[in-house]
Amino acid sequence: MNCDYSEKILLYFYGETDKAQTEEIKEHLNSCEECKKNLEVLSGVSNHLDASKAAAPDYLIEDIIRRSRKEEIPGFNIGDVLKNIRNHWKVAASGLVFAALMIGVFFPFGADKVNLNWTSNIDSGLDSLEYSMYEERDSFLGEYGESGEDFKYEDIDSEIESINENGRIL
Amino acid sequence: MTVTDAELIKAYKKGDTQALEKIMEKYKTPIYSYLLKMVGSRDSANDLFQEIFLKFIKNIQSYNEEKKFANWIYTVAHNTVMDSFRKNKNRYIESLDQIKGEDFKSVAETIASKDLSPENILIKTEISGKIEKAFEILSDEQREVFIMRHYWGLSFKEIAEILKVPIGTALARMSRALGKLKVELGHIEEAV
Repeated sequence: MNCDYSEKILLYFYGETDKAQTEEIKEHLNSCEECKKNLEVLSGVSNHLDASKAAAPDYLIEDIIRRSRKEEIPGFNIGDVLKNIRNHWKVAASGLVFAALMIGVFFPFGADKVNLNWTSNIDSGLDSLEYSMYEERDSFLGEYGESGEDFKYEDIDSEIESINENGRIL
Repeated sequence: MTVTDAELIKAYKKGDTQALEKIMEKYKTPIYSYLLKMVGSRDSANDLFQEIFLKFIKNIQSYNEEKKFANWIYTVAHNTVMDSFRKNKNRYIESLDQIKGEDFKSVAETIASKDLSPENILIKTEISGKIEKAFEILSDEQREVFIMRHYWGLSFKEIAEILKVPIGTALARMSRALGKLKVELGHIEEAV
């Protein structure tokens, strides 16, 4: 198509021109054989397309509806969710075990009876135990000196004997 | 009272499958006619029709109701056809002889219903056959614009949006298609 109006003719045929454009094209058609032919072809093809319209067969629509009913919520495919769980069951199981452990740690049965306060007596009890260990160490070193003297098993044995005999360390 | 697409979609989102049926009833002709002309085979058109509506069902929750539903489902149809073309580069388009049986019958029935003479039916059927054959020589892009404009009743601007091309490109494709058809058909003496 060499005429400049070839695209305008399309818009005109499908009613996409405004009043001024429509008038302009009508005037052009009076003198342009090429555009007249284009309109004829367009009209013929249009009629053919109208005549060969076809609707999808009913069984196709019924099949789609049947398949859609399998999906409990439109757009939410429970089958896909189950498939995902099947495919990633190890991850899902690990997640469940981890969640159970976390619940066990932070919310144990009877948790209300356990005092988890950091300033509890456990802390002060540990302090006194540590203190008595230091005392014991000091008394031991006081006896043997802090010269790094090595003491041997026989020394320990004699210590034990002394304790057994006297009930106290001499 | 006519129920709008937006109302049907809303009902379907709430689980009303009758709304889905009504949507398909409304779009079964424009979409199926488009598919038949694009792929040229009833089997392929059937498969693609199902694929389009199953995609619709699957993605309905993500559909933005502010957009025109017709354009949304037509975009799905266009993308599905393009994907199928990409997958089957050497796709087999049934020859006219294989599909014209039913198409010719539908043309004849349409014309006969207007009480025209048998000779006229024959002439019109022959012309239809020529047009159908001429359609086969168009490129997919040229044929698609023609079909979208005719079967979907979309404006060239809407077609350009679906195809993601400037409106000038959509018009140029159709203009070239018309040029080819004119050469192929010669002059049609009388309107069909």
